[in-house]
This record gives sequence, C-alpha cells and structure tokens, in this order.
Amino acid sequence: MPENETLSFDELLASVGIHVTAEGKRQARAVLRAAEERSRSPEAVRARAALLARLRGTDPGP
Amino acid sequence: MRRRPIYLILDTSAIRAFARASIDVGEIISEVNDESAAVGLPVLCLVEANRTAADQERLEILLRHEAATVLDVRASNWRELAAMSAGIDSLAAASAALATVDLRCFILTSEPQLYARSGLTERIIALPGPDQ
Repeated sequence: MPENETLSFDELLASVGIHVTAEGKRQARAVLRAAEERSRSPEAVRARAALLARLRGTDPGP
Repeated sequence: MRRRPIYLILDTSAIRAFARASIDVGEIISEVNDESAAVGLPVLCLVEANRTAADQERLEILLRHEAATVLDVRASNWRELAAMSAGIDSLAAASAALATVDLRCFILTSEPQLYARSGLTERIIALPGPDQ
C-alpha cells in the first residue's frame, strides 16, 4: 500500500477510526512506566523466580 | 532491517478491543511505537480474536506495521506452555503469558482475572472494561 509509506502510525490509526491524542498518549506512557516500576518490586522479582522454577519443572508447586 | 524489541503482549481481549477501535489500546500501541518498540501478537490470540473481530481492516493495518509482530508458538516450548496452561483456563491466554515471560515484557488485557493464578500479576496492564 504505497500511500501508507507517507502516513505516520497515528495517521494510520486515525484512518481506521482510532484518534489518539497527546494527552491520551501521555496517560499511556504513565501506565507503561508504572508497570515497569511494579515489575521491579521485590514481590515481582520473587514471583518471576517462582514462575520460572515452575515452568522449568524444578519447583514441585504447593 | 533490525527487528524492534517487544515491549507489550496483546492477548485475545486486547486484540479484539483494538479491532473494535479501542482508543485505550490504540494510545498504548502508539506510545510503544513512539519508543521504537513493538507489541507482540501471539498467534493463538490472533486466531481466537479473528473469530469475532469486528473490523478486519484495523487488524490488517496493525499486522502490516512494524509496531506489531506476530509471535509463533515454538515446538520446543511445549512443556513450558503445558505448565503455564495448568494455571490459566485458556490456551491462547497461556501462550500470551508464556511470551510475556520469555520476552520479559508486559501483557495488555481486559480479562486480568484469567491470569490471577499465573504468577504474572505484576506484569499485567488491565484495560478499563471487558473488551472495551
């Protein structure tokens, strides 16, 4: 689709009825950064280690 | 061309929401795109969403753009997928969860309850309503 080469991703989204806004993207960025923060918490690190052990079969589970 | 890093996995509910013109999903994907990253679409989720997707054109736009990558189920991962599916009542959701673990990224969903027993709760980004 050659005409797409000149459109930004946001313009492509708008062409199918998804009109993103600067404020909406700022909120989306905040959501992503908050998720990053949560994933670095000690609880998240412990949960990941337990999950990996379960997936690799090295943890018999509860 | 170098492949973009996957920052976020869209599960079936998030793909469906995008196909129904969810602004919340669109804005998150747009932000990921601005950061020169991509969203991952697990193939099983894509197939499941495609059964009921309201608008194929939106999915096609996403699939043709470098902001999205379709993720295969690797045969060598079958044991991990089996283990993951023991805690999640949907094979497609289990594949999304496994991709999240493999890629150390996040999962976007409007059905966070699906993942309650997955051990991934810190990596879930919940959309504000069922399927938007």
